Amino acid sequence: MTRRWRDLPPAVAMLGASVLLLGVWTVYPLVRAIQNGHLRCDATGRRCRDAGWGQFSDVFMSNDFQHALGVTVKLVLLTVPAGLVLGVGLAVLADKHLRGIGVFRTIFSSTVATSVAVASLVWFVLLQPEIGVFSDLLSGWIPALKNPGLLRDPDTALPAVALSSIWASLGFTFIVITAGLQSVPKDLYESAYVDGAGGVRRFTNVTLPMLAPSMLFVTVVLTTRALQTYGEVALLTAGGPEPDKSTTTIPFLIYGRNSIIHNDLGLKSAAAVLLFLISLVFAVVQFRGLDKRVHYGR
Amino acid sequence: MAEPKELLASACRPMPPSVVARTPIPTVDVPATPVPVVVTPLIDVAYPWTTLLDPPVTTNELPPLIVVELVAVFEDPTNIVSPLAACASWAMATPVTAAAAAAIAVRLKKVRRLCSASWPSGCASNCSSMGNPAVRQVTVTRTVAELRTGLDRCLDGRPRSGAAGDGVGREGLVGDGRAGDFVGPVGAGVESRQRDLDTREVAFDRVEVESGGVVRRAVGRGRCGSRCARGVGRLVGGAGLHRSHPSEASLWCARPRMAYRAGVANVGLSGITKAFGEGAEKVVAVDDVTLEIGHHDFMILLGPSGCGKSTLLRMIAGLETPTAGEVVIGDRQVNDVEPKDRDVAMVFQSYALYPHKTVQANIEFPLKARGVAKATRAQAAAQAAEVLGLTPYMKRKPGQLSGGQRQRVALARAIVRDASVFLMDEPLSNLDAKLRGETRAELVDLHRRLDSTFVYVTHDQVEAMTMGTRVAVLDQGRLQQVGTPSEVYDRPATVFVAQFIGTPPMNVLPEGVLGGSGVRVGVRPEHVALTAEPADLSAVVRQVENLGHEILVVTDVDGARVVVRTTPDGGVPAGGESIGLVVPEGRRHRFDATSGMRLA
Repeated sequence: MTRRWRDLPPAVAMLGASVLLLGVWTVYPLVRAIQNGHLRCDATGRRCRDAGWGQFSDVFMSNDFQHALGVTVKLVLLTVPAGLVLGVGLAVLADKHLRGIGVFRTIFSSTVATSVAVASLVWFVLLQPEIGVFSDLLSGWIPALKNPGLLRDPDTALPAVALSSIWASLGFTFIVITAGLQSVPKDLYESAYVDGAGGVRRFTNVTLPMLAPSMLFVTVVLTTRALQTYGEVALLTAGGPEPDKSTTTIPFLIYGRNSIIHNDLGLKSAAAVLLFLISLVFAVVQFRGLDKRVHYGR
Repeated sequence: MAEPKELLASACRPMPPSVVARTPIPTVDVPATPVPVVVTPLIDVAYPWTTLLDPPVTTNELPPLIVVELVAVFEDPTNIVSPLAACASWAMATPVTAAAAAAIAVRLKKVRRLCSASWPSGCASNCSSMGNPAVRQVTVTRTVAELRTGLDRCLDGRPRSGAAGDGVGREGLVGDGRAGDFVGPVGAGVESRQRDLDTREVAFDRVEVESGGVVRRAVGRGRCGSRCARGVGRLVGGAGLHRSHPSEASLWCARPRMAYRAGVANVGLSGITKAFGEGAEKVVAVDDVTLEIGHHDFMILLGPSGCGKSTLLRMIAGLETPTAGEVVIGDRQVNDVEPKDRDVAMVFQSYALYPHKTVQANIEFPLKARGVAKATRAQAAAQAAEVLGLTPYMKRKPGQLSGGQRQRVALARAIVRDASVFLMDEPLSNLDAKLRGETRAELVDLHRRLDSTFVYVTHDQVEAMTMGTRVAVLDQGRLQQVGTPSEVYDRPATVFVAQFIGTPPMNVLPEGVLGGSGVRVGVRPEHVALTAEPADLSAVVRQVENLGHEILVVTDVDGARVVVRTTPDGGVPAGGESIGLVVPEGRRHRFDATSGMRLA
């Protein structure tokens, strides 16, 4: 028996758990979603028939999906750059050897332990027009805080949801970037310092390039999270405000109780498959586009 | 035939007051009786200066000042920083007094010695036959009066301000790349290739001659050409007289780093102390260290791990602030000066290369950080890379290079700035033994060529002994001894130095053995002889280590370990054998048993 064959049983045993989990939780649901995506059901959600592959393009071209796609992309654009910049900024600020900086690090990273439901509730209360802190303190400058309230105004609802989402993700970004910062060799900074580089140049020529792998990772994760935003929307705006549905993201279109396709398993599955493909495209574009600019290792 | 010294001495007279305005030029009495001058070409003369001086003239008939233009064409472009050219050019181009002329002759003699001693072997014969193999022709151009007229025209009569000079011959005519006060050694900017030069008009306002007749610098104003070292922060090229512009004195704005530079780059440490932590956790890393590092020294800071040598280096760099004491670089105290303004370049143990940048971008970075124009940066980086053999790797990233190549990139990044002081923190420690040996030689060669001061931290005594012009030995933050490598080896100041330097280290016997009360005697292993007869010491052989070219005999003298270095030719005792050890009186080092200090 060759060594390769001898190694097979332990290899299967070690891979088995991962393959099982991946199969049960990812591959099977995906295959089922693709299968279900062919179905077109009646208004009651029963009596389904096979509508073929054309259903995916029908769903993609539908006004509802296009609208939800637009909202989702806007949410990505609102949350990812802002979340990244804030996370990097806070991490760089907290990466100083100052007395008591540990307290700030704990505060900045605390949201990683906060669930979407809790974060959304916190922001719901904060932005509440009648009793919310923000409306009390800031409505003089931003009247929309009081009337109708950021979450009720079609123009501000999505940014308000984005705000909650950014805050919820900030801890994750902060931790990853802080870890990245701490792996930057100190002598690179010292060398640049001796060579005459000022603070800004050290940041752009040393910190940012050395953080690039962490930032790419954070960007992909934040983008994927933003594409999957459901909890914040469901809790803060329920996809509204109506009739614009200005916060109805694709996940909310799929899962939301007041979604127009709430009862249609086929259309929901088709939309879910499309969301998967969109996420895949985003991830591939990000990795392909940015990976060449990212330097790993020393 | 007169000697060059006599020729120059008799040909030159003190400069008129209009020229020497602010100049403390020492003068000598010109003999009242005219001295006949017989002109003998010093070197190969294409356009003989005898045109002016022949037929033989007397000093009274000479023009008041003579400016001689010199063009040096080097056979070996890698040796363009040769002091030979700098001195020769300076000698020819400088209006001199008789006193200075004597100095010229002296320096030319020195040049000749340098030439034969350190130039490639093919050059040696040329040196002896021609005096200066690099110089092909010497021409007389204009008197200083004519020169000044041309210069005034060039400058439109308007002196222009430029980068602030530090007044010691380094910074000037740069910064804004247009014009500025120029302070530099006349004739120092000799370059090998025309394309490497840049021309700027310059007016020499004064020429300074220090006591002893050594011409140190000329001061003037000028304007940069397009290819000058714009924005580098200093005029590194010095000044020369450009052959193609005989009617206007032109400044050679030579390549950064390559040219002779008159800047004084001594480093002074006075009572330097550095403590980390407070209270019970306080650790004194450097304790009251006072050290003078002279210009162009290759100073080695040597000591075991944790002795404070790197901390000391970092305080010179400005990366650490001394708790007490004073750091002086050049002629200014720099305790509160930012590292970038200290005119130092540093090579780190890890090389600290930017992994995301190419070799070229790494080398260019210090210039980029100082706002040097892209073209100038590229040129300077290419030259630094050429010197260090990195040209084929310019587009690679550090991760694609070997350890030795990375180390050279770090060196190139340091030299591209042409800093006055180079600080190196164990730069060879990550290399294998063979590469380390090669790189040691390269560093020594680099030091010879750069005319900068090197401060080098190592715990490796081989590096210290082979590279340094002086060695400072540290232990527990305290300076133990400073001296040349041979001084430190031959006359260690303390027991610590005696036992730190040398492989195997010096045998230091217990108190009372071979010496009186309160005295410990030390002796190098190579100075102990073995004998079968009763001798100074009776010993028992514990171990014999045959290293091939030598044998180390480890013996036991009353419980003390004494190592003897001998050759395979002599008889080698067997383990357990009782033998006698001969310790010649003249080879004994005596130390105070309490303080460990050398007694005599």
